[in-house]
Amino acid sequence: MKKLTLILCLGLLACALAGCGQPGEKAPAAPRPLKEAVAAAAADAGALVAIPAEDLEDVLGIPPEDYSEFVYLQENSLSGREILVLRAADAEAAQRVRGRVEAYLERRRKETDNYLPEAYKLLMAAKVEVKNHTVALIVGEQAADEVRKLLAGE
Amino acid sequence: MIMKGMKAERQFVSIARGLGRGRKGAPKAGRESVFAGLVLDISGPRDIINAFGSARKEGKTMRRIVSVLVAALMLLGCLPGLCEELTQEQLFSYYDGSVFVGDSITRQLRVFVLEKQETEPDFLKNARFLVTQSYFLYTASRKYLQKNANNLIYRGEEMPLCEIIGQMKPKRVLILLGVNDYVGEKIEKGIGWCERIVDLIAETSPDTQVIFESLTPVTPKFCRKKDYRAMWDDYNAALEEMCRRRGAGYIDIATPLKDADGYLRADYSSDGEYHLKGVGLQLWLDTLAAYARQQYEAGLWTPEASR
Repeated sequence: MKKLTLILCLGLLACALAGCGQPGEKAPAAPRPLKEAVAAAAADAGALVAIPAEDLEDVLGIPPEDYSEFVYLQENSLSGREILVLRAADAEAAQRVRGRVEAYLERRRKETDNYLPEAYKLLMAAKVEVKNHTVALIVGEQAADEVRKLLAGE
Repeated sequence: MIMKGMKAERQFVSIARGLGRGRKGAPKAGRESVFAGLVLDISGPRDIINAFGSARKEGKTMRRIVSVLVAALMLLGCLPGLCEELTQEQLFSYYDGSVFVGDSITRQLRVFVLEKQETEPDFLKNARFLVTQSYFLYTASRKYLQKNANNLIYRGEEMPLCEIIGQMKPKRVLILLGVNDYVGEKIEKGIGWCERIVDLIAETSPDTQVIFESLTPVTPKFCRKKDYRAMWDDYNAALEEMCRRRGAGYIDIATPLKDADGYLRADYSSDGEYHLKGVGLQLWLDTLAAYARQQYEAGLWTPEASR
C-alpha cells in the first residue's frame, strides 16, 4: 500500500512538472514601452511636445480606463505634425478608442481646411491604424513609414 | 475710531501716528504739527490740509476728515514696496482653476506652456486650455452648437463654450478670440458677442470670473491689403470699456508685443502674420503675471486665497 501510494505521488509529481509547457514554447515577451517604440519609429519624437493624459479625456473623450499606455506628441507650430498612439485595455476598448481618434482626425481636417493648407494636406493623408490593441495616428511627412515601423513591433 | 468731543486736530494727528507713517522727532510749529508722522507725496499733504481747512470752516469736520483719511489709506495701499513681493509661482497661482479659451494663437500658448512644464512641472499645471484652430468669437457667443462651424471639443463632443464652462465650472475663464472674425472691422458686433459671452457664462457658471484678453497685434504682411492696426486698437479699447462696464476682467497683452509702429514685432512672430513664437509667448506669460500682481496690489486677490 505504501509503495502504491509512493508510485502514485511520484506519477502526479511527474505530471505536474511536465504538463504545463511544451518543449520549445516560451512565454510571450512583454510589449516594448510605447515611448521607446515611438522614438524608434519617428526620428523627431524627442523634439515634439508631450501632451498630457488630461487632453485625451478632455479633448478626445478617451477615458483612462480604456488604455494602459499612450504617447501623444505635437509640434508647437502650425504644421499639423502630431503622433498619437494608445495601447487599449482590451479589444472592445480598442474599438472605442479607434472611433474617438477617427472623430478627432476628422475635426482636425475640418479645422485646417482653408486655413492651414500644409497641415490640411498632411491630415488628409493620415489615417488611424490598429494592430492588436494598439491604435495609432501619425500626421507628418513620413507618417506612413513611421506607422509601419511602429506597428511592426506590436 | 474718531472719538466724539476731541478736537479735530488731535484726532487727525493721533490717527496719523497710529498709522506709523513719517519721520521721527518733534514736529515743527504751525501747519506741519498737524501732519506729524504722515508721509505722502507733495500733493498729498496739501490736499489734506485744504480738506482739513475747509471742513473746519464749513463745520463738517468729522465727515471730511474720514473721507480724507480713507483716500490717504487707499493711496498708501497703492504705494510700491508696501505689498509683499510675490514669486513667479505665487503670481501664476492666480490662474489655478482657470480655463484659457481661444483659437490657434492660444493653442500655441498651450504647447509653449507644456514645453515649460518639461523643466518646471508645476508651471500653470492647474490651468486648462480649450482651443480650436480657426475658432470664431461669433461661434463662442452662441448658446447652441453651430453645426457647420469649428467648435470647441470637450470629452470628445463638440459643444458651445457656455455649456463647456457650465460643466467645468472654472474659477476664471480667459478668452482671446476675434482675429478669425476680423472683429476690428465690426467692432460693435464684436463687442455685442463678447457681452453675450459674459451673459451666457453668468447663466451656466455664475461663479466663474470672465476675463478678456486683447487682440494681439499683426504684422505688416497681414496688413498688406488693409491696415488693421487702428481697427485692432479701437476694438481693444472698446473691449476694455465693455469689460469695465460689465465687471469683467481685461488684460492688455497687445502693447508689450508691439513695435514702435504698432505692428507685431517681427522677432515675436512665427508666421510673419499674427501667430507668435517663443519670445512672444513668454511676453504673453509675463503680462499674465503682471496682471496677477495688479490684482494683488489692488487687494483683490492673495495667493493663499486662490489655493
